[in-house]
Amino acid sequence: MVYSVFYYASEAITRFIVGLSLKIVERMQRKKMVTEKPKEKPAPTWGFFGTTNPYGAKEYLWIGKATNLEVSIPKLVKLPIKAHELKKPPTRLFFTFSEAASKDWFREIEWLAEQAEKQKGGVEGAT
Amino acid sequence: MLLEVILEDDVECPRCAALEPILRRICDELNIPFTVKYLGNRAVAAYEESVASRTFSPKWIGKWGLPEHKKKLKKLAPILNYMQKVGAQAFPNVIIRWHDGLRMKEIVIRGFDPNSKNAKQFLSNIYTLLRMLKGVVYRR
Repeated sequence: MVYSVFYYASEAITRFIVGLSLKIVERMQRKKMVTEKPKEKPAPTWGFFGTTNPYGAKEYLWIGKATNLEVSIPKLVKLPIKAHELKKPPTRLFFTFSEAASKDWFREIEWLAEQAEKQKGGVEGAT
Repeated sequence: MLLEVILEDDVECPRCAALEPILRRICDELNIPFTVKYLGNRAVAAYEESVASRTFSPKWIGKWGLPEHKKKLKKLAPILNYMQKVGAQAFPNVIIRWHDGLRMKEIVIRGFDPNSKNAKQFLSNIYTLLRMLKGVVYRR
C-alpha cells in the first residue's frame, strides 16, 4: 500500500485539529488551585480632581503628571472640566468623652479610620 | 487651614468654661489655631446632620408621624415635650479638623466632665493627638 502525500497531509491536519481541540477542552476543564485576587483599578494620580478645600468651598484641583504642580480653581462658575471624583469621602469620626478619655482611644481611632478607608464610596463620616 | 481646633460652646455651660482655658493653653503651646463657637441651645451642633432631629415634637409626630411612632408617643410625649422646651443640647463639643492635601478629616468629641477621674487622661490624649497631627500635617 502506497501512501500518497495527500494522505500524510490530511492525517497531519486532522491530528493537529483533534489535538488542539482536546487541549482546549482540557484547559477549560482545569480547575484553578489558587483563586486570583480581584485587581483594583489604580486611583488616578494626576489630572483634575473635584475636591473641597479646607474652608469648605468646592474647587477643582489640578495635579501635574511629571511636574510637581498643584493648582486650585474655585468652583464659582460651571466649567467644562471632567474631574476625578475622590472615591474616599471626607471622614468624620465621633467620640464621647468617656471614649476619648480611655487609654485605648488611639487604637479606636486607628480602627475607625481603617473602616472608613475600606468603605468604598460610602456615606460621609463613620460613626 | 491645615489643622485647627474648634470648641462648640454655650455661654451658660460650666463644663465649657472649665475646658476652654485648658484647651486654649494646649493649642497656644502647640501653635494651633483655636476658635470658640458659641452656639446656644437651639443651634445645630457638630454631631447633628441637620435640624431634623428637633422636629420630633409630639405635635409633629401626631400630624406627620408613622403609625408605629404614634403608638409609642404616649410613653415618650413627656420626654419629647421636655426636650423641646429646654432645647436639650450637649456641650462642649471639641472638633479637631485637618486637611490631608485632598480631603477634610475631622474628629468630634462630645462632652467633658472636669470632675471625672478621666479628665486628665482625656486632656493628655488630646494633647498627644494634636502634637502627632501637627507633625503629620506640617511635615512638608
